[in-house]
Amino acid sequence: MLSLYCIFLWLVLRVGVKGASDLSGCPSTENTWRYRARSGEKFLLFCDVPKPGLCKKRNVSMRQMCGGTLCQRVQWYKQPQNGSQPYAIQNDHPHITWENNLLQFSPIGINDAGSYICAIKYKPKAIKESRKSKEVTCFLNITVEVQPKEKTPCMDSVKNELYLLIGSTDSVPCPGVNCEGDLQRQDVTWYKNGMLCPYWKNTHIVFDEIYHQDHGVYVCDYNQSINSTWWLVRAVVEVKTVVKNTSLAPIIVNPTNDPVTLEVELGMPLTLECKVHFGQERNFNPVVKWYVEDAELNREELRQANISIDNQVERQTIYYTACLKQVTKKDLQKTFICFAQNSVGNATWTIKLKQKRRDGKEFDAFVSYAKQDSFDSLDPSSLNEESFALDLLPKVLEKKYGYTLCLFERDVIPGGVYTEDIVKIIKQSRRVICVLSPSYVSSPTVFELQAAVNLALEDQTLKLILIKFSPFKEPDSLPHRVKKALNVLPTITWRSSKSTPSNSRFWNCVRYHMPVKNHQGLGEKGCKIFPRIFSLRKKEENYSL
Amino acid sequence: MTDEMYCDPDDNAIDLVEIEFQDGTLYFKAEDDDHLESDDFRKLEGPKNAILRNLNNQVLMKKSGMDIAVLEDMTDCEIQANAPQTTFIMQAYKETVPNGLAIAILVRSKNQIYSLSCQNKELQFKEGAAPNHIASTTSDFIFYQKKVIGHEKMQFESSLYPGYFLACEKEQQGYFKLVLKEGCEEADKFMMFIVQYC
Repeated sequence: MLSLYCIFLWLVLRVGVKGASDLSGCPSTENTWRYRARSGEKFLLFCDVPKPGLCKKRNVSMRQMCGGTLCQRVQWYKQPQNGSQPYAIQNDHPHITWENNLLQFSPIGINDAGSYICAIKYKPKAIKESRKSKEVTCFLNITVEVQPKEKTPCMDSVKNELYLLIGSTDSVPCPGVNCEGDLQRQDVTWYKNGMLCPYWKNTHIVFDEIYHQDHGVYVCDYNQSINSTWWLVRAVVEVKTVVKNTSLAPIIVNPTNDPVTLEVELGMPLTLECKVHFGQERNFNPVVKWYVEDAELNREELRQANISIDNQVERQTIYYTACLKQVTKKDLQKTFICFAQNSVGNATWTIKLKQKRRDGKEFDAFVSYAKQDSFDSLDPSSLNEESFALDLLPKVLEKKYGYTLCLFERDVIPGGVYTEDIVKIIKQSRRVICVLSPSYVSSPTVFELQAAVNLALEDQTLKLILIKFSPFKEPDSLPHRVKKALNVLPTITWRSSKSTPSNSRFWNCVRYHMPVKNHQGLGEKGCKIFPRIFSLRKKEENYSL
Repeated sequence: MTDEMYCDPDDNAIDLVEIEFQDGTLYFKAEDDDHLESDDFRKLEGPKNAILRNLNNQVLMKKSGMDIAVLEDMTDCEIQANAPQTTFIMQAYKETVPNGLAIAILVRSKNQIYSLSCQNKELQFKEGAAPNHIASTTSDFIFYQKKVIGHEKMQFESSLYPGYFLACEKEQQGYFKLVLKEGCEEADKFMMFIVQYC
C-alpha cells in the first residue's frame, strides 16, 4: 500500500513552499499549512485558524461567525508553479469561490494543486499600552496537494454528501479516513460551517438524535505522514437534513364551502388558484393540474397556468394558477377541477362559476321599441326602428361593448301575461332603453315606457334612456307622469348616418348612461390588466348632443 | 327624476373619512373603530390543559408555596397525585401581527390561579390569571410556542425577551428548575419540551 502511495506522490505536482515574512501579532504559530485533497471533491481552505466555535450550540448564524476575525477582508493569492509572482484570485472562476475567509473549490481538480497565500487583516487584542494596537496583515501559506480520486483506495465509500433523517440516530463519517486505516483514531479535527468543534475528535461524529440544525458543511482534518513529511488530509462533507417520507396524500387548502361557486363576469379573464400542501418525499414527483369538465363529463386540461413553489423543511406548498382568457356563457355550465397527486395518493377540489350580479339584476338594459307593421317602412334605405332595436342595438351594445340586453321577442318565453312579463323584466334590468318615434308613442308599446317610469320611481337604481329615433309629437292621451318624464329624462337623438358607426357620439352617449361594468378582481393576478379609472372614463364620454 | 350626476352608489363611491388638523399633524378620524387596531394580544377561546415534560421525561410541576416550577421524574400516578400543579393551562392568544402561536402558561394550586411571568428575565408564577387583552406587542406572560422541525417537541420563546427560551436547568441543590435562558433560536435540548395535551 505504502509503495503505491510513493509512486502517486511522484506523479502528483508538488511545489516548494515559499517562505513569507511572519509579522508578529498574527494569531497562528505556524504560518505554513499543508493539505491533501482528493480531486473531484468539494474542498475548503480557511484563512486564519478558525476559533473554537459555538459548535456546541448547534446553530451557527452568520452573525455569530462574524463576531471574531472571520469576516475580516481577506485576499487570496495563488503562487504559480513556475515561481513567478503570486497573483490574486478573483471571484471569476467557475469552480473557485471565496467568501469571507473561506476559499472554496467545487470541486477541486489536479490543476488546483499548488501554493496559496491568504492575507488577512488582523487586529491583535488590545495590550495595556498607551498606544492603540495597530492592525496588521498576516499571511498564511497553504500548500495543497491533490490526489486523483480514481486512485483512492476505497473511493466508493467516500461520501461527500449526506442526508440525515431528522429524529433518527446517525453519524457523519470523515470521508476516506477508514480507507487509510485507523478507525479508532481520536485526533481528527472537525469544523462545522467554518467553526472549530473541539468536542469532536473521532473519525465519526455520532448524533443520537438528528435535528434540523445539524445540517451544514463539515470539514475533517487528520494527520498523515507521507515520506516523512506530515500532511493534513482534509475532506468536506455536506450534511443535509430531511424529514421522513410523508404518509399523507396531498392536501388542497382552498376554501371549502359546499358547493364552491365563484362569481364571475362574462367576457372577463379569470384566474383559478389551487393551493396544495405536499409532505416531503425523497423522490418527490408532485402533480397538480386544473381540468375543466363539461356536462357530458369530458375533461380537458387547462394548459395555460403558472406554478409557484414554497419549499419548507417539513412540507412543500405548490400554488398552481390556471388562466382563462375570457369567461364565456358556456363556462358557466362547466365544472373546474383541481387535481393533486403524490406517491401516496391524490386529492381533488371542484368549483363552479356563477355570473356575478351585484344588484340581483340579470340584464343591463331592457329595450322597448314599437313593433312594426310591414307597411310602415317609409324609407327602405334607412334603418327602421325595429331593426335598430333588434339588430343594431345588440350588435353594438352586446357584441362590441359586452352588455347584456333583454329583447322581448328574443329573451322572453311566450305564454305569459304581457303586462306582467314587462314589469318582471324591467325589474330585472338596470336600465330601460326606449326607442321613441311616432309609432312608439301611439302604439300599445307606450305601456312599457309608463311601466318603466313608475318602476324607476320605486327603484332608485333603475334609470331610463330615451332614444329619439325619429321626431314625434306627444299625444295628449299620455299620462301626466309620462309626459313629465319625456321632458325631463335624458334623451339621445338618433341621426341615422352620423350615429351608425359604433364609436359615434351617439353610442358614446348611450354608453355613458348604461350601467358601469364592475372590474374588481377575481384573483388579483389576472391574465390581462384592464385599468379602468372612473374619472378617465367619464372624460371620454362627456359629449354634448 | 332629474338627470343626476352619474354615480352608482355601491361600486364607485370612495369613502372619505373625516380629517382634522391639530398641532401641525393631520389626523384621520375613523368612522368606527372597526378599522383601527393597535397591536395587541387578545385571549382566544378554549385554553388547553397539558402536561409538560423535558427531554429526560421529567414532568413539570409548580412547587406549592413557591413561585417556581421544577422538573421531576414522576409516574402517572404521581402526576395525578400532584395535580393540579402538574396540569398547566395553555391559553392561546390572538395577535394583530402574528408571530407564531402566542400562549400564556397558567396553573392552579390550592384554589388560586397563577400565570407564568418572565419579568426581568426571572421566571416566576404570579398570582392571578393573565389578562384577556394585553395592549402591547410584548408581554412577560406571552411566549411563542414553536415546534422543532421534524420532532414532536416544542420550544417556548419569550415575547418580551426575544432569543430567550424556557429551559430546564440543574440547580446546585440537585433539582431541575424551569428557567429563562438565552438560546440560539432552536438548538439546545434543555430548551425543548414535550407537550402532552389532556
